[in-house]
Amino acid sequence: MENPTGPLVLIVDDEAPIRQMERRILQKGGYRIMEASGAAEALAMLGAVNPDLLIADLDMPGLCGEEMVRRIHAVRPNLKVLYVTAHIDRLLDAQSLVWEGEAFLDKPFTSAGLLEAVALLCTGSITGARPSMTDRRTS
Amino acid sequence: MGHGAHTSEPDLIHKLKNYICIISGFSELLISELPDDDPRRADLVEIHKAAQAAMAIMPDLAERVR
Repeated sequence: MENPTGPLVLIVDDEAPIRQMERRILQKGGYRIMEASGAAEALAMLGAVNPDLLIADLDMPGLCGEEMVRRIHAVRPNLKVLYVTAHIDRLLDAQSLVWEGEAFLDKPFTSAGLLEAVALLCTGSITGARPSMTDRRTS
Repeated sequence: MGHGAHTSEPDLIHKLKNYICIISGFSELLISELPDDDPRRADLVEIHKAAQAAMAIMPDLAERVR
């Protein structure tokens, strides 16, 4: 989809290929995308843009995703957050509660999994803005 | 995404999960963009299947190094 018009999603991940992959998957699903390579860049961007959803890598160097979200929620308490992590077992050991407007996605994830999680947070339905990745299964 | 000899096992698992995520995600994207009769499609499907298989064994591998 060349000109998506769906909800605006801010992707924050220090790994550029992961950001690019998430961007392409979500743009195909009709979402508008912004990217930040770390917490400081994301916090700066939020002074000028108002995304519908934040996708936060929890395992970033420097300010971790969880602390970044805590600071963002101090100024944008209603911003929905999808936490993406390769350490979901550690995370669930440390944090047993998931607040409304939050979800977790374990790496590695599938395109369908990402689209469903984002759709659920943005629209309340797993069908999302405009799904197009899940209609061509490979198995 | 470089790593040294002193990288801990959990950090290696983390890196491996990122690599698998990238291989799986981009191969799926390419498959979705290719015409059904493109000769490269079968190769990409095999790459994607291998990534899915690797994904499936990650929980067991992660548990062993915990």
